[in-house]
Amino acid sequence: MKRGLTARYPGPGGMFIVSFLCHAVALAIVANWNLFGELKPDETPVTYVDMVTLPVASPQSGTPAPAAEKAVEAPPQPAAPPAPPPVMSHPVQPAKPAKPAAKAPAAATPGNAKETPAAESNDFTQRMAKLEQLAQERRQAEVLERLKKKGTRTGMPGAKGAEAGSDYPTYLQSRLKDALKEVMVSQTKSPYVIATITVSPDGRIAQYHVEKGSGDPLFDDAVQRAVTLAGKSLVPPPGGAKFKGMFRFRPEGVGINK
Amino acid sequence: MRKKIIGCLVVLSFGALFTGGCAKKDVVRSEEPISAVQTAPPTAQTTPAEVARPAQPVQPAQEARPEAQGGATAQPMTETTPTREPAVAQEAPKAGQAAKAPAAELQAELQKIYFNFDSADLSEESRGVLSKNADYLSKQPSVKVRIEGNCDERGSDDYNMALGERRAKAAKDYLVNLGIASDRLATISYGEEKPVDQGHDEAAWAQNRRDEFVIVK
Amino acid sequence: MRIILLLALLLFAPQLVLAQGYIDVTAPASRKLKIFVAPTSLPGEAAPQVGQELSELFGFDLGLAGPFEISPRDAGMAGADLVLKSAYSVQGGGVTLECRLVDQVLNREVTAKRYTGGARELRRMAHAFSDEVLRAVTGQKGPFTGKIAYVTKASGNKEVFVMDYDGRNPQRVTNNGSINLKPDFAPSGKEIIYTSYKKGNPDLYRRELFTGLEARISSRPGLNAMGAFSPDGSKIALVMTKDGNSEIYLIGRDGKELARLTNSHAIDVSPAWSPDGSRIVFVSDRLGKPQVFIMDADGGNVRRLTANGAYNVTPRWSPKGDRIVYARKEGSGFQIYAINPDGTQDTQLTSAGSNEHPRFSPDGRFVVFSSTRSGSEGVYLMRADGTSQTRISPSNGQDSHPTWSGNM
Repeated sequence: MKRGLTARYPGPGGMFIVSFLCHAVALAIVANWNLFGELKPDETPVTYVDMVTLPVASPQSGTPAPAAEKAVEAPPQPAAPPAPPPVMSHPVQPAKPAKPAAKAPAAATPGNAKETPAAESNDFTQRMAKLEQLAQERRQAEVLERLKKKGTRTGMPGAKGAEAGSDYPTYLQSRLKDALKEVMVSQTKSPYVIATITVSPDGRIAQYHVEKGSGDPLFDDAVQRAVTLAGKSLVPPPGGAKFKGMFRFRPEGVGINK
Repeated sequence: MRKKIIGCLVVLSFGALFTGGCAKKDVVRSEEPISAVQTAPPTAQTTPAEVARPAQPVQPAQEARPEAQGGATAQPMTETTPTREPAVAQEAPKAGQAAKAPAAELQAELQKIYFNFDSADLSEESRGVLSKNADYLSKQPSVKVRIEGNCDERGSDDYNMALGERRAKAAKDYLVNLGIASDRLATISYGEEKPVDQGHDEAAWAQNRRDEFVIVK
Repeated sequence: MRIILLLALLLFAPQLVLAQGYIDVTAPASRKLKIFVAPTSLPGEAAPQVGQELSELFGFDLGLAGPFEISPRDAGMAGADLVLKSAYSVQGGGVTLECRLVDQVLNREVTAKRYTGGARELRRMAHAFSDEVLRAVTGQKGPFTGKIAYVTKASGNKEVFVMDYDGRNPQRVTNNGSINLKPDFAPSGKEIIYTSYKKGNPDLYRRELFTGLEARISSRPGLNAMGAFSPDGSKIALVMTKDGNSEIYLIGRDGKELARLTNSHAIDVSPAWSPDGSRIVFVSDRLGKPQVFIMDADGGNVRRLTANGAYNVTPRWSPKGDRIVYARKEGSGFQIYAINPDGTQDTQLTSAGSNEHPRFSPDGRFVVFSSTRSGSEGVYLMRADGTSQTRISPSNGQDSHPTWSGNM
């Protein structure tokens, strides 16, 4: 019986060939499957809700035009991480009233405003506001810089519309993960937030909708900060399409009970 | 034959998993450089304000609420200005000591008794002292005595309040058994609040775990 | 046939990975929110030392709180997640303090308040904003405007004082030259009960802090001590020895006896309420040595709580009800422990010196206690997990038995 079999089959070498063929077939299937991105929506319905294809000329068009001048300033900043300019801004104190005035005119502090002539304080106000904004940008640039460094490790799909977007969720996941690492803070044991994130075709976060909060304001805010930070440097979704996915944010290594 | 088929299947499925995994990784890896280039510009170009806005549509401008807050805090905050109390009566012991001469003599005769740590049991020695005290008291039927229970500092002060009471009561019960009328004997506990020795060693503690017999009248 | 099988396998395997509902985003353990306390804006002739005082105060409050890391002054607001801005001005007889908390990442104002009052209330206003920052960021108000009542031996005998939570502004409550012990705040924070020997016997007094009005509410023979207000303020659990042995009773605010809760030959002391008022934790040596027990508020259903240690005393329930702090005798001193009301997770919180009399802050974030770790006994506080142990009473004092009031 055994002998008969071995005679008919071409031995271990033959078996290897058979195996190799099967592998080849498998590879072809995987490749095919990757090529036909249309199949995916059925398989991951929650992640891919609303795959509306919007006509977008180029995937890079997401970069907003008005910010062009700042683009010149910002890149060099990350090079010098801790910021000397903001330090200077603190001794110059009277600028404080500027903030209330700018943000909520109604709540302006009359007592403070009286002290300086209007014109002078206005000028000052603007300068201060600028300085503050610079400081804020620096903080964000700092974090983004770190995120970028990490981002390259995990990698992300190209933004070429022709390619199938099977990995965009993975890409987004890794960007969010890195961002959450930067701002993670919580006061409860196993908080989690479920949120729907919509990335517009130009690579900006068009909508952040919390489906289920954690009940821990610290963690809720941390997630929002993470999304905001991650949203600053996203590659647009492939195919000039909008991307919408549901994400669950939680601390690492913590089981979900509730 | 069956074994071989199973073997084949196992090998194949492993192979399939392997190739599948590889394929995926390849896709990711090949695109790395592109992404790195592409992320850079948007980073710098988006201003904080622009990005922040979509992320939080609900942004109620919170303003200072001067009325509510001001009203609340405008109340006088210097609340704790208690009226001075008259330095009321010292504790009775001093009043007792200031009594008549015979009482002072008798006071000298009434000896203290001592206890072990966390105990209100009367030792052999203590019982001897109590018997002598009972003799003096029976000779002075008009004299009333307050038994003060005390503890050392080592226990919990809450618990020692009760332990001091228990020590005082132990002495009282013994004296009553020896025939002293119970209405002549009051008890009080000072817990660990009235040490006779301020030290922090066993000698001091032993001195402090005591009952004192103070003549009140 | 085989190939078809394989095909099926291959088709489904990768899908399994992605077919779950959400994409999980995780990050390792919590870091802290970096908060920068910007120098106070002091327009005009306002005193410059006020700026220093305020930034120290905010730094102290928020640094203790737990979720924050205070950015160093020279780091500026660049690296901070949150910035606390304040402006101080003098107007007529009073001062105005305006405070804002800004989230730098989300680019939004988190909260803003304006306080007005007398110049002496400046610290109170600033503490109020610290409370508000905690409310806005964590969802639960801070305890920093609460007061701490304590017993001090500064003048030789034990008197009751009240101070700000950070040790400032000590004010005398009793001045009778006798022994005054175990203050406890009414839930309103406006009244205090304490035991005093000022009329010879250890009696229980209730005193209104604002008016100084006082009543002796329990003066039964023997102890009237360790009074503890019920969470609704209507009753007081009290240790008395009038029936021959130390037992726990319930009395009304007027001192009327409502119930006797314990009935044993043992010592029963140190009652403390569960936050819902349904149970009382206390100390008894009915099994030989002092241990912590829990009973229903009617005295029934007694069970032992502490299983470890030979001498466990002075329990106190957390405001959330999830923990009970107590002191355990170890060697010649005490250490503070915390335990769940079901007896699990018995955790040591202190180890330096001797530490006693633990009590939670009204928000449950902190525990105040007395410690001898630096020589003289003083009032300390720490976070409920035992971190950030900080002395708040003067270094040369003789202070103990702290209790933290709710906000007045």
